[in-house]
Amino acid sequence: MTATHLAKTYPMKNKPDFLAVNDVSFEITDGRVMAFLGPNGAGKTTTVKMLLGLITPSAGTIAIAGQPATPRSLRSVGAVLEGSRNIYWRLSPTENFEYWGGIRGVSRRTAIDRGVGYLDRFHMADKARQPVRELSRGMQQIVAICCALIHQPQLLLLDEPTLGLDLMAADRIEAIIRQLAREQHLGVLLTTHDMAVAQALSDDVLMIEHGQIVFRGETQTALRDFSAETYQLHFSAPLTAQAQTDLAALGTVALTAPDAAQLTLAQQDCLPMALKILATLPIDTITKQQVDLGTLFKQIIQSHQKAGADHADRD
Amino acid sequence: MLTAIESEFRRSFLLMRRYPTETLAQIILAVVSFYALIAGGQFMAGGPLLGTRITDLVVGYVLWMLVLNTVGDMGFGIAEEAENGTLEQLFLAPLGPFQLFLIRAVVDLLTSLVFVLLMLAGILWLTGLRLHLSAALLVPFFLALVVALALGLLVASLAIVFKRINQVLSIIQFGFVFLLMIPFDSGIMVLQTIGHFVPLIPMFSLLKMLLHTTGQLAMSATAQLLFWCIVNTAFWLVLGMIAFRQATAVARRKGTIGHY
Repeated sequence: MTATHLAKTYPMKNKPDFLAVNDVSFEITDGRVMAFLGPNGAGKTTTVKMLLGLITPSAGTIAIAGQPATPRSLRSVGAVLEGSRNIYWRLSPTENFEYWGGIRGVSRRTAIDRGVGYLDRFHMADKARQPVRELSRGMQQIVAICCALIHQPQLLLLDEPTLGLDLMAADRIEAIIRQLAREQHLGVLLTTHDMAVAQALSDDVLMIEHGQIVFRGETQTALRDFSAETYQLHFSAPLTAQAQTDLAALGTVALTAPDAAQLTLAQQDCLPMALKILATLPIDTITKQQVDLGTLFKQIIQSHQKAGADHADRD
Repeated sequence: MLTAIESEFRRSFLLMRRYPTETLAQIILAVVSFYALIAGGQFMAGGPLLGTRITDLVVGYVLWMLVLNTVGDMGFGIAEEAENGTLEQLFLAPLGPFQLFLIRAVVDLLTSLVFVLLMLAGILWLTGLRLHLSAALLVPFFLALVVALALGLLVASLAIVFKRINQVLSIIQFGFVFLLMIPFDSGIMVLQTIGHFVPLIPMFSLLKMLLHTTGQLAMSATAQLLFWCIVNTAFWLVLGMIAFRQATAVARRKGTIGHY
């Protein structure tokens, strides 16, 4: 699925138009999981819904398998949307498989066999005939994922699949997504605030802030590159404001305690200058940090917000 | 499409079977309400309702029940889907929302039809009334079903855009009772013309005519009424289809398929 220059503007009464998504382009490829990350209100769900045809873009195009997206091409797509019940709670999992498979062109027998096959693999075969409302939240989400895959799509869009789940349930969902994505060579777009899940699952990462893409890349490459520039600093006395400003000029500084900070350099060339500054400070230890996706995300978003604030100040 | 039709029938059947007391209670309530209507009417009239009057009541009540059920199923049904979150998933069906909701409207209508026929059997048994049934009744009745379907699409359109339409639905459902009471076929030109375009009114008139007439039908009057039945059906069907397509376009543009 390819999104090209997608944009969405909402007209506002007595206010300037609200630009929810601004010139977003990316591609979801077979067999790869893309984590789509962004703060609340950044435009993730709006983008996902435009991909699914639930929101009409103000600009841009969407293509599936090289062809402009149409309702028919949704045969290739399955989705589990956030904040919603994607299945009927008054029906059992089997009855949901029949229904959602049927409206997507799957015969009753095939839908039941596939769905029950999934339940069997996820050790939920005994729940097949129980009304969904009687299942735990995690089990409901598993059934929703199974329903989204009942017609064997090539693309799967998951909007916050682990939201509201406890740790065990979230781990289980993560394992299921990984297993299904690999086995069925699915292209997956996953939006989540759970950075551990995003890091564990994703091959690629895409970050959005205020409707614009601020970062894209392969997850492991990005983590490796950013780890090269991130250091955990401990001082024997609280860090002064001047020292923070001096270090911030070389990258981003996040105070983790009055006497501790995480420094991410804008580039590796800044290391000698950073060491020069640190030599004048009461430094205790300097430890090279293995960055996780959460830290990377915060740094990218903060530096984008900082660049935006600087730009506004200049204006 | 066949798998979708089967799915919708099956879902409707499962929900009815899962809540049998709800279904049975609705039928009993409809029959008892009609009986109360008859008793009230007789009390007001100071004597039994005779001949054509009670026949007209039965026909009007059956048509009203059809509208009540279809409007309720489509309108409240879609509002409930939006609240539950499943409406967006329905919009992801490769058939497209128009075809899917058309299938759903047909299924709901056929379910309503079973309900209405059971209700009618109950009413006829309770009142002892005998209707002069003929094959000719099927034509206006079928056209009435199509208009009910079109009303279902109209109401679905409102539900997709506005979501919470409970009060509007109540106005439509009970407003229709008053429409049935207006004597559109009284001979007053303006009323007659308006009546040709009020949903189900030409069908109501034709059904009454066919049920009242035991001998030879007046062919020109029948043909004229049949013509207006067809015009009425086409009018509301086109309106329903246009309204639905517009509603889905508006909801997609505003990004409000899943919520208000």
